[in-house]
Amino acid sequence: MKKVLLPLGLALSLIVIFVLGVVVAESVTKNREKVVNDILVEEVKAAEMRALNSAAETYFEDFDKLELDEEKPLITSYEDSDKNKVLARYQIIKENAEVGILYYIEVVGKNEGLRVAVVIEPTSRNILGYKIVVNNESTDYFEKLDETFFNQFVNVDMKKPVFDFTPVATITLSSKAIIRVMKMAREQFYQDIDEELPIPSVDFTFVSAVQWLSDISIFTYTMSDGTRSVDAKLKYDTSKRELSFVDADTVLSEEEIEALVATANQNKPAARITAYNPNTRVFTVSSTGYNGPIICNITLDENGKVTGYTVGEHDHDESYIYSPQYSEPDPIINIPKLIRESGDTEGIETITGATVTSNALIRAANVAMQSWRADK
Amino acid sequence: MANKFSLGTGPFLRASDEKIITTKRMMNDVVICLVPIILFAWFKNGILPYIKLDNVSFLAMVWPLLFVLVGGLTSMLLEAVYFYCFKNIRTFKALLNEVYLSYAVIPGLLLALVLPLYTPIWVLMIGCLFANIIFKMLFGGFGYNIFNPALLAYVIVITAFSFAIPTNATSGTTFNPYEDYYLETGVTPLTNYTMKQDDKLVNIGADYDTLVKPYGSLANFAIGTIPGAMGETSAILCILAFIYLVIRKTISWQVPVIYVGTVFVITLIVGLVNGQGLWYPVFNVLSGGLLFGAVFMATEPVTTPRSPNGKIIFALGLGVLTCLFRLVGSFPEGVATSILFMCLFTPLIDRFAAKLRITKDPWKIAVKYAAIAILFIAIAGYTVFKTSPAQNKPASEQDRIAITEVLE
Repeated sequence: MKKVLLPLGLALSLIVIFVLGVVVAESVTKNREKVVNDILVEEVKAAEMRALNSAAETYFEDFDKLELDEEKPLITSYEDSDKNKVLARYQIIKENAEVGILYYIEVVGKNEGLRVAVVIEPTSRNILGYKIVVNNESTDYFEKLDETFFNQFVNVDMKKPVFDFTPVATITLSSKAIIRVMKMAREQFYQDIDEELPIPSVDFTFVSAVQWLSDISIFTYTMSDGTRSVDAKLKYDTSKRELSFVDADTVLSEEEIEALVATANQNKPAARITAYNPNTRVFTVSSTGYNGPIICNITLDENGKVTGYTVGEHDHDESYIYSPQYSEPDPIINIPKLIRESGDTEGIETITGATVTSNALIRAANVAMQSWRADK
Repeated sequence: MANKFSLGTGPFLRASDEKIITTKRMMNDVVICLVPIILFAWFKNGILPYIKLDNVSFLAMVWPLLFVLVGGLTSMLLEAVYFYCFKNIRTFKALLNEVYLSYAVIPGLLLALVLPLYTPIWVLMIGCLFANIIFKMLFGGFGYNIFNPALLAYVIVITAFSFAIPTNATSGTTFNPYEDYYLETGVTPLTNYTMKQDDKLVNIGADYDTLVKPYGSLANFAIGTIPGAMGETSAILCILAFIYLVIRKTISWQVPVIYVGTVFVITLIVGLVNGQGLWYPVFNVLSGGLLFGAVFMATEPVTTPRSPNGKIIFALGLGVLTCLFRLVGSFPEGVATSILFMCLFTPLIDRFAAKLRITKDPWKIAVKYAAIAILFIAIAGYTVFKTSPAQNKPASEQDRIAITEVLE
């Protein structure tokens, strides 16, 4: 027994040392990796804090400190992605008073993890500027964004209802990401001060609308917001009887588009081409009269003069027109005849007592001629 | 002839000292001197990171101690196995006695102290196997080995298992986590020498800011709070150990003093040629394993020359070769290789030195010493020449353009 014990003991103790040594070494190596990683993470954090401080210093010289403000909830998801989020809110403190706010925001550009510090002046509600802290965007691509693009986010008034910037074509994702940062900062700010976001009160007034002949569901609406004139392409949905936005000659924000479509829907065309034959130049126009739509068939010659005007289906109150009180001529018969004779709507007067219906008939001819001229 | 010079096995003791200085006491002294060095290494690599950093586990804190313990224990167990299998020693008590008398623990301890701290444990154990069994017992056991077992095992392990020894900062090197934390550089002081630029060693002439500043000051080198293998960083403890061992007559003062002195003088000349100050030789003496090697390895009684003049020749050779390997070679450290290299010549030096001592003709003595001196001066001169600014000037602008063009 004793003879076996000694060699067994020697072998066992060697094995035990080996196994224990390997196990402990494994744990120590893991621990070391963790500690070193923690150090690296801390270093990154320190570098981020340095970047945030320098961002604050750019706009507030000699501020005392950045103070993390954890009281108010932050936007954790934006545009349906939790990769767009406000990471932190810092107060920029100078002489024990908050002089500025710094939002640290992460968004997805072409790649994930674009981090930007946005500095806000709370009293004037201005975005003073910003600093890109972590940039994972492909550099050759990101560098295509020039200073004019970046400069549009400096000194931006957040109170302005129209808070919109133009993304850069071909660098759409990266440029949109920066724009998103500004929008998020703005929304976070208004959330923090518990106020509604200023809704854009863009006022568009209707100027004119022309129907396209190549695609009669499309209208060009000319609108004005007081400072500029916008030509917007709108599509008319016959089943919903509603106009929807297609395109515009100027870049519009979502709020502006909303306002424009709303105005257009209030000014729906009272007369609308429902069919058009380009060979015979015969227009079928539906125009709303006193008692509902009147279908007019209008033929134009090559110069856009009316050569034929007949009225088709209509639900007109003939009993009124043929009543004893009514002494004027029947507009359904007379107005088309007058227009046919002059070839134009100019100078055609409405018939007293049937003004709405007369106007509808004149308008029908006008729509046909306008669209023809526009198509030319 | 055999009657004239019988070269027995070391260590040799003066008859007058024999009563008080025994092999047992000598080896005990070595272990006693290693204890503060191990404790300091534990403090620097285990306790300091544990105090200064979060998340350092208890095991990681005691790891340096465990590493040394595994080295020592493995060595003892391996020799016990050897004695059991090949020497037919079958009782526990006798085995313990044999292992104690053959000082099995020392190679394991030394090996653990010179290997990088995060060397895998199996590499350390294989190193112990090489040291105790192959380089010591197979040569005939304590007193018969021709190389320092720990040193030879170190060189074998560091070259053969270099793939397993971690080199980057995250997985571990000779850097402990705290050093990773506060040092901005990722290399040990001497590694700066091997950094090549444009295919030339330019850092031989690197200034104080590159070589010393990243690690604090030369005081840090003296205390030992610089990255490096566990045993080698603390210069002060090595010097204290040296004083203790000399007082106890365990080692003679010649080899360490002349070895370090030679390195000092040669690096002083190299420094002067490169326009460096006095800090340059001091840096070279304090960094790397020079002091540890000089005190514990180069004085090993078995594998180094025994005659006093042989010791001087041996030590001079060490100094000259260390400078050559360190400053001209491609490895940062030159201590281990130069000691092993000089151990090769130990019998030769002993014979040569002994013959010289009985030579009557002073001219013959002078000529022979002069020959050796010329050899050493030639090697040192070559080192100085190779490290002179003229040889190491950075590639000129035009060369650089040519290099970039080729690369493109």
